[in-house]
Amino acid sequence: MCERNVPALRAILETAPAPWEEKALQRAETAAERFGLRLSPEAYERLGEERRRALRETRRLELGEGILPALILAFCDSPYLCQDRWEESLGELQSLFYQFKNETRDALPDAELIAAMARVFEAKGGSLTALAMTEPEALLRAAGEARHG
Amino acid sequence: MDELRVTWDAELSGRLLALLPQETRRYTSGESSSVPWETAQSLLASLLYTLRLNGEAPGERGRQLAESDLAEELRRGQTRLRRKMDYARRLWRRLAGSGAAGDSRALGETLLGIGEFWRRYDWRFAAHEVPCDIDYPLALPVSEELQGVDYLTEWLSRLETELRFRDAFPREAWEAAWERFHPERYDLPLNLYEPLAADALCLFALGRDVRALAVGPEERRAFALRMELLTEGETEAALRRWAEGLGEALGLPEGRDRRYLAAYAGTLLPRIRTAVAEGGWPGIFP
Repeated sequence: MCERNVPALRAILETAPAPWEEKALQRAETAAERFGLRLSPEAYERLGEERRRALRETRRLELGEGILPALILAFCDSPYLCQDRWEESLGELQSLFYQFKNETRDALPDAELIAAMARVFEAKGGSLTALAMTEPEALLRAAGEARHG
Repeated sequence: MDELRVTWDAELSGRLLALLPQETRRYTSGESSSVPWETAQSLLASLLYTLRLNGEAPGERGRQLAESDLAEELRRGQTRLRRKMDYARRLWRRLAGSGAAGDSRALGETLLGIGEFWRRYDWRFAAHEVPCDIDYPLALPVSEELQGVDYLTEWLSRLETELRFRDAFPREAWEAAWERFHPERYDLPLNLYEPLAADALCLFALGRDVRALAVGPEERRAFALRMELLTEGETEAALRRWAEGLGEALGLPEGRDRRYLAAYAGTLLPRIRTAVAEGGWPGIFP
């Protein structure tokens, strides 16, 4: 049996994802500011655009509040990230997150996947390129280590 | 897809949109803020089925829902599904325990396989699916428009109707009829109602003893001669009349069983007309 009678799913898919949850974003911004990391309103708009594009490209639907606050919290204390690269890095991490959700077949809750990404990022000397090349199995292993770490 | 948007009430779409995040959150146990499109599509299809809403033509039901508390309608719909599951399970147990599984390997395996449905059916997030293999072919297949537990219930009900028809004849009569139909029928995915119904209709048309189910070459020739004298319209009317008379003669319950026989008789019309045109009379009998 295939799905039938699904109305205007495209209309739903084209609906903009919900804005990031305000309190979660404020908590994340406060944490990031301790490490001298800030995002301007224009940067948030660009990250919002990248989020929409990444969701389209990975064919995912995000009806919740998005993972940007969680990414900020997980990566703001990395010694490999600085203000110059902050927006660009978050954009790439956001895209990688959705890609990894697909590649791990949604096997990991959001929080565990982000923890795994952070672990791998640090292990690879802060290289986003190396993180992007990480195999799903390595992420699952890193998630397991983070869980028991 | 644009035309779908136009036919949809904007408010109803918006309210369904509001319901989907909640269902998605429940589906992921709150652990994921995003799901693949295919998952979202499936969750939405499940919602629509549970709400009894046709996504392509919402119609009157759409208008009703536009004014309702959708979360409450969803709860009611899920309660309804669980009641249907209970009914379908009781029906399945009766059929599985009836001995019919011994008539055909495909039927036995299908009845056994439906046991998987109860283990795998997800009335909450995939209510529209039928997670089991149904290989035994009914004489009148269930429409693919039906989904989920409704499809299964209708399939089981039709099987029950077919078995009641079989039981209207003495066992030795239907076993002999099946043996004439195909000696290897047990191992093949063949419907077993059809040969009995076709033979019985033929005998009724000829005024012979229907319960004997004894259709041989002489009866087929006599039936062929009879059919060659009729126009298409007369054939259709005759089939309808014979189905009604046969149902009465066999004492079939009124309603579903007799309608099923009448509908099956109607399917013989194109075969009879082809046989009249081309002379391939054996082809009208399965």
